[in-house]
Amino acid sequence: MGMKNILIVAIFLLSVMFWQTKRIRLFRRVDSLKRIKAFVVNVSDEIRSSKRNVFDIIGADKTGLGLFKNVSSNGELLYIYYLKAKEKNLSSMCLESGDEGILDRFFRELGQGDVVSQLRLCEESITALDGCLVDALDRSKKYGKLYTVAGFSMGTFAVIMLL
Amino acid sequence: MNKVYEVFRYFPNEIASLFRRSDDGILDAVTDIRLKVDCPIIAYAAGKRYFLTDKGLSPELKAPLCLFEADASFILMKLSNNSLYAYDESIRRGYITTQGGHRVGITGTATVNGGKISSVRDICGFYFRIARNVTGCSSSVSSALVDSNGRVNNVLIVSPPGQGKTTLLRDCSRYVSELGFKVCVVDERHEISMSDRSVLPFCAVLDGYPKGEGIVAGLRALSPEVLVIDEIGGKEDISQILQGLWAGTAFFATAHGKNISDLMRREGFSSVIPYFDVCLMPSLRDGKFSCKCEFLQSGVWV
Repeated sequence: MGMKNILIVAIFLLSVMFWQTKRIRLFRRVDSLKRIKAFVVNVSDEIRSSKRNVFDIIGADKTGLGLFKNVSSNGELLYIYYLKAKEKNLSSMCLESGDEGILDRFFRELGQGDVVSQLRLCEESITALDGCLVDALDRSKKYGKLYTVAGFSMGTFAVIMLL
Repeated sequence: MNKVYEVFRYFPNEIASLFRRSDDGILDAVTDIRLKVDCPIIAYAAGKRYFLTDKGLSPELKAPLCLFEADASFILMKLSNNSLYAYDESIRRGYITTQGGHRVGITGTATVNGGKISSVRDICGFYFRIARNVTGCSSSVSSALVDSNGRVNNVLIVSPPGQGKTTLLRDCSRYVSELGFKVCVVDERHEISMSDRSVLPFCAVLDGYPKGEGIVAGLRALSPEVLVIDEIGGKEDISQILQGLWAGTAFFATAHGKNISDLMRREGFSSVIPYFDVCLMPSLRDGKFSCKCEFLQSGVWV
């Protein structure tokens, strides 16, 4: 197989991979938002029923959020701990800036008030996350197939051009 | 480790590091640290007042360090483990007990609903009392704890706040438990056992139990020969103690007061005081601990 053929295959694969990555990011965002929502619901339930402290709830991580995975707490305040976790793990969650804004606000205010205000914070965050989730699902439906088709067609187009 | 270092973890780094610059002798003797927004940070050691300055604790009020609002928020979040909602009730009652049994009085503005405090806002003051386990401080009064027949006396420890009542109570509990008596400690505020299982190894500790429920639970399940409770105050406490006394259990208890006659004037106390055999009155002057002891003989305290 000549160099030209190898180049053609490589270009085709690159095109498919590029668009597939974009597609995967769409679905990962949906998955992450679902986990974040489940986490907030769990926090709300814990505050309402057991009043466990925030670090215990995060430590248990019943919902498999994974945001604080491999991030150790050195007794700092929760928001600082969150910022550390965000720097380490948030990029893999494929969130958009709006989604991050909701998380930022949630962790900035979590633990800073009485039960009523904390339940309100959880409720507001869940509503906002629902909005993001609708958008993420919509986009994954709309662009999911499109990105697959785009990858194959652009790869094919590039191959034809090179032939 | 010096017990006072345990509370530094609740302070912002700048404040904690200034405390660490202080003379070790002063730090060893610190009993109280008082922090209030926009006011100098104060510590009490061996009965003397010290101000926090950039050189550590100093007896002189020269360029003292004040507490800022941001520092107060930091301390509150650290004290509540970032979970203020879990400490609602505690803050309403005016204190949080930290790891190590140190009590932190909290001041702010109360919101009152129907005559009861519903919440405390604008929290601005923190008053740390350093809990210390002083093993052997009851040695001068240990002979008063058990009578000549080998029966444990009912002991009431009376003094104004900050004189070492709880420290003495802890050591009395340790002493009788080491003699082989079954001792049950009802530790409502986590101060007697200091949230440390090694402090009273031979005592059954009901940690965090309200006094009334603790007494009932102890009597039912732990077959105690001695029940230990800190700071009796309300009518409910007194009626529960009477139940215990009538059940044949000895009591070690503490109460705020100058002496027995002062205490007799407080509501409900006149009914329970005659059941006690011994009254201990600890006092702390210039860092030196002493304890007066009175016995009830034929209805008279001598």
